[in-house]
Amino acid sequence: MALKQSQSIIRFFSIFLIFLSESKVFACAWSVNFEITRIAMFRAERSNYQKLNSFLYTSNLYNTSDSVSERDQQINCEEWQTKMGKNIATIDIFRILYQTESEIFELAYNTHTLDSVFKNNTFIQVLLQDKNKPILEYLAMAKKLEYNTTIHWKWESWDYWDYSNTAYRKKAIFKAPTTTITLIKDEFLKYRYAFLMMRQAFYSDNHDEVINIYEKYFAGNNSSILKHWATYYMAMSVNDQVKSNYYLSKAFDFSDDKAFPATRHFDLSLTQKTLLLAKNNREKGIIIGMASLRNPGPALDNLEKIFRLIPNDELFSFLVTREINKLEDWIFTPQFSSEGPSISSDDNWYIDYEKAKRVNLKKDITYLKKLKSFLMKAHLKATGEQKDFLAISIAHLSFMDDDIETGRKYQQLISRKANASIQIQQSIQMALLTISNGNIRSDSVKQCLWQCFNKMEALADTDRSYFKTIQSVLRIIGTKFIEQGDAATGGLLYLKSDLKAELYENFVNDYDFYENEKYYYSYIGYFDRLASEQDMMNLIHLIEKKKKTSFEKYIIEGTTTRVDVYRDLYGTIAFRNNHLQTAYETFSKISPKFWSNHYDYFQYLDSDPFFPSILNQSYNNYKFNKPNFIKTLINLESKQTAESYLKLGHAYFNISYWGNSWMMVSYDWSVNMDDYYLDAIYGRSGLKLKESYQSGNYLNCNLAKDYYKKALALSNNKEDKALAALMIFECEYYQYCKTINAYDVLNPIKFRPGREIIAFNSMYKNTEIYRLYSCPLTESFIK
Amino acid sequence: MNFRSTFLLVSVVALIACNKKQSVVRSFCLWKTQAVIDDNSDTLMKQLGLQHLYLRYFDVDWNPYQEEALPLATMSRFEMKSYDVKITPSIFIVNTVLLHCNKKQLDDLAANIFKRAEAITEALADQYSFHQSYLLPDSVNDDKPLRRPPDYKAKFRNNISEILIDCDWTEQSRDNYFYLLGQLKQKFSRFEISVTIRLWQYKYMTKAGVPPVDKGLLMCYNMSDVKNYNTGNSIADIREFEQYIVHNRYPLRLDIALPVFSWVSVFRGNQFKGLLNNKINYTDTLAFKQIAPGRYRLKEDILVYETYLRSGDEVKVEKVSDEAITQMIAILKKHIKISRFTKVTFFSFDNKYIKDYGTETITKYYSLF
Repeated sequence: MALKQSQSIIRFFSIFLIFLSESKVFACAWSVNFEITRIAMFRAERSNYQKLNSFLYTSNLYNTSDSVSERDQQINCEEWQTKMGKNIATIDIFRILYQTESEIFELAYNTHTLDSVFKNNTFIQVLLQDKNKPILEYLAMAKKLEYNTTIHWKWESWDYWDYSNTAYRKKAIFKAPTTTITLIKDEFLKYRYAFLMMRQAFYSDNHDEVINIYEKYFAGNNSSILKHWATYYMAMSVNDQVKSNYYLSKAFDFSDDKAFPATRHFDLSLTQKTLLLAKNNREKGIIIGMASLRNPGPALDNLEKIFRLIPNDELFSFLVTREINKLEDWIFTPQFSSEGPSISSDDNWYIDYEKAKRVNLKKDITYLKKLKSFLMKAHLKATGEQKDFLAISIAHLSFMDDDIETGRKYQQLISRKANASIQIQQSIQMALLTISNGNIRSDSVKQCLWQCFNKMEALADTDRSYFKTIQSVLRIIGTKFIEQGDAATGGLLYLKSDLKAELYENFVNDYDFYENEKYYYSYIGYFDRLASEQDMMNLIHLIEKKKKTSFEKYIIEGTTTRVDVYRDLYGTIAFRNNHLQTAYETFSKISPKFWSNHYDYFQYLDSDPFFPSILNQSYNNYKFNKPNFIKTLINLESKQTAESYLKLGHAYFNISYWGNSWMMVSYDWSVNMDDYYLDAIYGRSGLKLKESYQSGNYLNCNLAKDYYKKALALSNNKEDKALAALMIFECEYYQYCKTINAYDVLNPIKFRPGREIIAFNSMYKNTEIYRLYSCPLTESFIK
Repeated sequence: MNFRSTFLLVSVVALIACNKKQSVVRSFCLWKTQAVIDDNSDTLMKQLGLQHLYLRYFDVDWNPYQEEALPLATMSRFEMKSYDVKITPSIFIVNTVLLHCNKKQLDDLAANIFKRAEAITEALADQYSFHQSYLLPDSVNDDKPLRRPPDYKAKFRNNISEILIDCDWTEQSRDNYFYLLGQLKQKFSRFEISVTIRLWQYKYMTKAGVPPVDKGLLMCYNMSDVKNYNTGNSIADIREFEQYIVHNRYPLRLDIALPVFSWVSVFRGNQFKGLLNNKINYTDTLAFKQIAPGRYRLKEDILVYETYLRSGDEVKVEKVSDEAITQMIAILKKHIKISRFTKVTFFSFDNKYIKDYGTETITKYYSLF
């Protein structure tokens, strides 16, 4: 029995020697999705940004947006309407051309059921007139060819079970007619057939044919949208890459639909040579702008050039938005999240992170001032929407730079007729100003914040990329609340921000919406690390409040769970602060069943806390009850006897990291790698917090040791004295374990036990306690 | 009461429960492209005492360009833990296929369906066997078999004795469909062939015809249009149901399919806006006003994750109530012959729906037959 006990003690010690050693934390152990943690609040836009949305600054390759331009398709529908008659609704044309699956049209066409399948469609009704038969035939052909290039393929093959195999698709390839085109007299149809032929030639790698068709039908003064689409295929077919760049810039300029692929295929290394082909300032501005869209670093030089060439163009404004978003990422992301900026423009970033961070911040602020100064000059020359846009941009940069006065001045220059995105940006800036200058606890400030949230939510309803803006604003405002001592509101705002980040992540990754099952700690993580007892009281009050304000309803929705979870945390924080009475009263309000059914209490609070766990490894399904436990501590404290101190020593030993009831104090048992993970999510160092629990007792057993010392001094019972002496040694040993670095074998720190272990091995050698718990390790320290 | 007497009492209760014969074959429909029966699902299956699963293998639709019926949405993954159940592969044929196929194409279709179903069974049997081998005791995995490991592939194949063909055929497609079924019966000669019977096909059996197969699966749900504001309950309305189950002359043996799923539809100004997939707290009287059982009107704007619900919107929670299912069972029992071989299946196996109804409630439904 004695041998068995001592073996278990030794094993326990050796495990901790390893466990407490310093572990290097490598970032690769846990990866962060930088696009999700990126902070971006600036979303002011000019009217025609849809075309450029894919190029908004992002840490992904391209930005994801709900807002996709349909301008080209609308123009095409209007061309059809001009051809077929003003009585036809363009919405009906749009439905057939762009919202009808090729197979469905083909089936209806073949079975002569177009009129019933597309009931009440004015376009179909006119197409079915005899005189329009050639046009209907053209459309059927165009739809067939569309089937060739369908990307999202639902059909599988009887021959292959692996339905990603596309071998069977060959059977369905159609060819556009090449011989009949010369016979077609109708110009409308002729160009459309020509475009079909050209696209078909392109997909068949017949680039000479693409060039021939382009020169013959589209190079001249053709005003149709087809010309600009054809320019893109021309660009992709010419051999000369400089010429190709030039055609791509033309396609970019005149077609919303081709703007993205044109920019993607633009060869950046040939920008200067391409500029030599440009015939005027506009063409030059577009070419430099296309190159700038793919520059993730500072691009002020190009911005200045573009402003000289096309000062009022939306492309210039869009590039200003990108520049501001870059600065937000560089300056705000490290400040308001645990991560660095999502994209670093400095290669030396990781050499010395903290040093690089300081240097980069200084550099970024200097760059911000330069950009602001340039925009202020540009603002003087700007007109109309561009003027409002530049004013809001300057205001935003000023607030980022803490130059409140300039920020306010430019805000006032924005006209009342400014577009919705500029007005929302104004309201975000006002919200941030309000919390910086006002009393954050006042209802008027909170009402102002809610109005801002509400506006952003309405925008996110139609464009989910706004979740990023909401996430960022909530995070920043949450930080302000925490800084001003309101961790209850701040924590809820952080949780709300996390919800938006989750929605943004679903959107960016094109996940079907799913609700992540929340784990217990996710509800309390921020509060566990940031909240005081007063914060927890406020939070519980807020959750239970009957008539909540709009602001309160907003921050509570989706972020909180049953109130007992927060009561439990409140009691735990009070207990960590040694406020036993508060802890007792708080825990008493919770049903005892709570600890049987929630979190891991059932698993980790199952042992007798009044006998040292290291001396008794058996688990006896002890019915642990938090309020009763604390009540017992209070009672023992008041007795001030040797027996009560010995019991208190056991209890404080067991609620330390080293005991069997550590979950009375901490929600997790980790001190190294796992803490890094939680630190990254919830902020602050978990290890540092744990060092502060119960005046240090959680990791050092200092309170336990004090009680054992009192027991040793007061007791007349030899067995109790032996046990107290042994446990004083254990407490000292654990304190030592916490400080050593097991890897540092060259500079070992020697353990120097107190005199109690000598007494244990001499004065108390005849006790039952000695017989049961002495071991070679304890003896080795007296030699 | 001491431990011995408690144990004795529990044993007696267990013995009584075991001796009670199960009245029907307990079944569920598993309608997923990738079906992984994880620990949670496995536990639910055990709690329900499931003996049988309908497994959707693939769908068949008409491709107008290739002018042939082609498969789509094939099941690509099926993993089960320990629980053994009989399996009926199910194949859904879109009615358009039958409207366009000629006899030759129907012959080819039957051959293709047979070949594909066999290939899928073989592949799923492989997956099952591979997965089960990981669950074997270490001694078997360590090349020190105490006994010969079971042939899991054969076990999987042997659990299949029936093929279900699912199609909402019409009068126009009836002849082609029945011809196809005849061909399928020949191909799947080792198996029983069953078909789904919609309620209208049951009621108007002369018009719809009776398929030339071994048995039918009567589908007792999805009777009304979810997008119609005035629809009582689009999943299953007991008044509607009563109007369909009006005779007891259907000449085929029938298994029964009942609904255990729910959805939440949103109407804005009586116009259907979509289905919501999220949990909402309707008891929040600040935000909701109950206007009828299962119907709530929003008193203020709320954000339900991705959906912004506005004040005045109506939310309709549709779920077939416990009472309605119980009544449906009573009506079914009155008109349809139920034996211990009758499969009673629920659509569809999803932890969310099962937990929503509760395994005890669903078990009660089985026992009501």
